Amino acid sequence: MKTMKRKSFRSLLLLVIFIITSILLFQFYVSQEGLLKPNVVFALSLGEPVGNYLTNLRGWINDLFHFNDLRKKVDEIKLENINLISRFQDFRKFQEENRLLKEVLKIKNETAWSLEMAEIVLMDPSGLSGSFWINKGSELGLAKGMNVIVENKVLVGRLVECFDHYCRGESIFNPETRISVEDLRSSVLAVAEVDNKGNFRLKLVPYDSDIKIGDVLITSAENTNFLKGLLVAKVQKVGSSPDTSSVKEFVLEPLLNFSRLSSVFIIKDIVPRL
Amino acid sequence: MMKRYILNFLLFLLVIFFQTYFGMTIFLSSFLNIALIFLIFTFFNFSPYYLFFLIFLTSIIFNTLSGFFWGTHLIILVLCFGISFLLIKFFEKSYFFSRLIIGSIIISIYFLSFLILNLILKSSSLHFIVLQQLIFTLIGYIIFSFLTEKLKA
Repeated sequence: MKTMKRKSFRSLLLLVIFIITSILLFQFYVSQEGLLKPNVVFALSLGEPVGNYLTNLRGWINDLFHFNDLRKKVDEIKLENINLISRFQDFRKFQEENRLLKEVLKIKNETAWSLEMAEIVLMDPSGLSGSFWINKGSELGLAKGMNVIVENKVLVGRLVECFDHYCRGESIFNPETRISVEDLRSSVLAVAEVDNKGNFRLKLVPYDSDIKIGDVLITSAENTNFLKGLLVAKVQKVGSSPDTSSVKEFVLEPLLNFSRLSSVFIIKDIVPRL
Repeated sequence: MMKRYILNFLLFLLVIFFQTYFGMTIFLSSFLNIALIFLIFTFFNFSPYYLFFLIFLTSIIFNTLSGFFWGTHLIILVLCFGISFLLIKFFEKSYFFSRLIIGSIIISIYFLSFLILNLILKSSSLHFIVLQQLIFTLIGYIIFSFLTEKLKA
């Protein structure tokens, strides 16, 4: 009986000591909160909040009771992130459009041409005709025969068919295209055309003409389909013809950049004679 | 039965999408004509009426985008598949090698008639690229045939 009483007394004493210690610790924590409270700074390098174990524990308990709210917030942030990415893409598009419009303005100032910007939406899937479709048509004043260029006045081709909202064009790679060109350095005239392998070659070159590798060729005034002064190609290789060794053969490298061909400009006010 | 046709048509749409999206080019190039290979496989396994419907759709898409004379693709495709219907009278279509021969003949007729029509109508000198396309498509068809035969076995 005595031992029972002693045991219960000890237990009571331990409980009291535990309660008093807890109260004291709690008071200490509350009084020193400013010191113990961590600077909840999001450490960017670590990718996690910086804090001590007490706040982490308190935060964990807090999170436990508010996990629905947190889940909702995470979803909102994810949605906001997607919106921001989408807006960023829009800005990039505007940036590109802005750059192209600046190019248009530059060409306009140089030549006084009226230009219409359009996008190439479809191209030939057979790889044999060099046809392309643009997303603007006769509703905006586009018509058959108008020349199509890209920035820096590089010739793409010409429009051959126009509907209300779309136009079909033929690029300079069309097998039937013949372009009368002029050497920018030596003013030699010749005809550029596509051979049976799809490469550009110079034809009707005058004997002993001054054409060198790297020379830039522009459209000459002799063209019926293209305006004068548009960039076409540069001379890539000069060799002798396999048929007659005395005749030189010129292989051209088109200045049209295939990989970045999405937006084009149509010269509206001058239609070459057809 | 109906399910097979629906699946085939969905696959056809996918093939045409691939052909028009990845084959789209502004400069002249030679590449694999997967639409033609698909039509040959359809020819061996499906009804001729359904095949004609697919030929019609293919021709519309190819003619619209490539800017050749209207009906060029339709005439060529009808011609080469018409000849292949006659060939079936002589060859047995259930055998692998006869299917291989018929398919190769279809591809050859398609590209050669394309070359001839283009020379007559447009007087363009595209023969090298057309012949390159013929070889690529022929090799592609033979590889596909061997693959499908292996899958069946």
